[in-house]
Amino acid sequence: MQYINSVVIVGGGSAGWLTAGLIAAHHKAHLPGNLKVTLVESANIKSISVGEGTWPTMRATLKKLGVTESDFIKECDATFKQGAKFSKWTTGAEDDFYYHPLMLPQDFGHVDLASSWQALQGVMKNGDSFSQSVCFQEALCEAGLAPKNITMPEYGAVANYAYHLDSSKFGKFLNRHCKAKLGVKHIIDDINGVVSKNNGDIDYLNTQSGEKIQGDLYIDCTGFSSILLGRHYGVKFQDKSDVLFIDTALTTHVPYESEHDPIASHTISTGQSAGWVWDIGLPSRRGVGHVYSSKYISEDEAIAELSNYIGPVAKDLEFRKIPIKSGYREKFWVNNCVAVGLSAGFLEPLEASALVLIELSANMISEQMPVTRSGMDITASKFNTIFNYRWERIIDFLKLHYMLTKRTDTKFWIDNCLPETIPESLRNQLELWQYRVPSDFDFDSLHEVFPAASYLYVLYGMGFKTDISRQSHKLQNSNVTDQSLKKNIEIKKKVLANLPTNRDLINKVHEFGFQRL
Amino acid sequence: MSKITALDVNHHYALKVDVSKVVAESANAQTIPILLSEIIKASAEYPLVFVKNQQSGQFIPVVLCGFRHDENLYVSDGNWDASYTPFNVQRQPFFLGTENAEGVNKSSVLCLDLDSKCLGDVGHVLFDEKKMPSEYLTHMHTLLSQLYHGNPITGNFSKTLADYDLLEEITLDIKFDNGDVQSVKKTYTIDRQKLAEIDNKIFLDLRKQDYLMPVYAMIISLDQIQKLVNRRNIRDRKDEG
Repeated sequence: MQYINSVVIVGGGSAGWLTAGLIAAHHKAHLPGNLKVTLVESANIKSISVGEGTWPTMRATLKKLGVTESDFIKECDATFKQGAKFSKWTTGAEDDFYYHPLMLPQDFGHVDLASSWQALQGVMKNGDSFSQSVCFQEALCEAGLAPKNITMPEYGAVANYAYHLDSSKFGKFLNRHCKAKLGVKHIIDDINGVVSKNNGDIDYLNTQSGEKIQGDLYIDCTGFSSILLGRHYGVKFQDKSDVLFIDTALTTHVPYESEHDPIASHTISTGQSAGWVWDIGLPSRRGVGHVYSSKYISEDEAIAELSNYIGPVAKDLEFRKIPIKSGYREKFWVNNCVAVGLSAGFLEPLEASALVLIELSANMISEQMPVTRSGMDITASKFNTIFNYRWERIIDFLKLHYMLTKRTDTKFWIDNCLPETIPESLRNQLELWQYRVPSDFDFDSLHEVFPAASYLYVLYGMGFKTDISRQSHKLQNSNVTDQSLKKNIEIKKKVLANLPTNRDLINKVHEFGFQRL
Repeated sequence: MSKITALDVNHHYALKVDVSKVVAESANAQTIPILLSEIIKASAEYPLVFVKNQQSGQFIPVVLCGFRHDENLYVSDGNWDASYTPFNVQRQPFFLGTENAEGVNKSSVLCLDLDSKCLGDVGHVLFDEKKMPSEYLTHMHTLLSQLYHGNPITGNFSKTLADYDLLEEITLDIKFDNGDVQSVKKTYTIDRQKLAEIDNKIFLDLRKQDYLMPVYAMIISLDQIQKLVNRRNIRDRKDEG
């Protein structure tokens, strides 16, 4: 009987340190006799340092790691994210935008505001957008307000929130914390060989320094290189560029004019001619990038569009080009090796899915950590099934943003609507949603990455029409829906009056910190 | 409303302070912040708890004076109806502002609430004929400087307890004789369980900083809540005639 006593994580970016931290915290690796967690990284390979958007799951993750919210905010140049604003995705007009906030529609689950809102669109022109009617978070974002105030205990929220953070600072922060508090052993070395056992398992890793690094489970966090899963095991990468056309990113940092400039409450995604620009406001600077398809525009055109978005200060900035292969591996766990992060796959950051996939992977590995080698194959199979499902659903959801466009100004947008570029799973859902609004029952997993509510925001934000005429039972609850709408209006008024701006709150966090209770 | 302005001998020369109206300024204060140096004395009479400063989120020790947000059961007909009058009650209508200057060494500025009902043509003068501070103003200056020096010391006390994770949130659910029910939330006190289990290093640190007595005093002072309830019951009976 072979027991699993040690885990080796290869790679020290966000994936490596988040995974090492979550496993070490859960398994109390700092106590003798417990699971040993080692992270080995190269001094010579730089991490990608771009992923800056997170999901609300990151609050729970940081809590699990034993990190205080104040330390995280101070040391990672972090701020609060309350959703995403999609500008110029539907018609491309200057005032064309919709929100995907982080909060559910008011009373979601017992009251169906989507059906009544949809019915109203037939009779009332120029009413509130879907997001504005059902949730107060868009109003907070438009006003640049924070999701809480300084008197709330850490991690507490008035409005559900996630974070925007500085990726390299985050990696270094986790590095320090994992070593100091969680008992993670840190090795700095370069891997130059993989030695296998007869059954195909990794026996040990050879390194530049001559040391052998051995573990019972290896976690590949080596980024795009995927040196264990991709290179050593040769697991095939499934190219999804026929669905999601983006293949290049140009990234940069844009300075604020003054340290008092407002910090945006949300990620801003602005449609371009063959892609979109992300704009993430951190306290000290903005992270801005243009993701585009080189099949539709040239690099020069892409640079011009990005510069145009940024404004005059763009001429003093350097743009970094990163090629993107959209897709994911056929399997993620082979033998005693599992990939987490970019080594498993990558999709454009349209809904900030990369870091949340790392959290989901690390949590599953940690909580279902195999006790015996024989049990590992069963866990591996479950892991592969669940994550394959998740990647497929993420692709469906990202594609939805594109194929609902009414833009016809460039071939990029037109081609995105071609049926052969739309996954069958998505086409089937849309067929049903033509006649009734999405519900949680439309989705198979108990743990959907994007639940029904997320689909509501994108569908109705982009003007998708659901014909409610055969759903009269949904509209015969007007007392109840009116109450929910009223509640939303009342809460909106209260929060708009009482919450501080992001800049003010971040300044206070730096000065006073959040209390623990 | 309050209009807090820096005291200026040229603008405020003619003002007088009617000290008989000073206590009444606190008539609607449900909580009165106290200094670390006042805790032991105050604990003998008043329930002491921590609340959060609304501007900074940090904990401050206060006298709990009532159960409604605008109720002070220790003020009766403009008089302080108990033995020890906290500094923050005595100092009205004066405030401490900080100089609007850059740099670390901001000096404190004595300010006045121009809307205070204490100010008028009756009472103590602020300045004498030579435009020098009067005896009364000098006395208030001394009082305010006690607050000026005491506030950061008190802040350190509260912060130390918070950093050592020794605080807990409590809710007071009270039913009064007349059937009224009140719930006082967002108050905090020292967690006796956690205090009993702290390791020696922390215990020694609290002792060295002379925090043990005020900590125990605040815990014991919670027994004064019943006396505060009695005050409310008496006041209710009087009001209902």
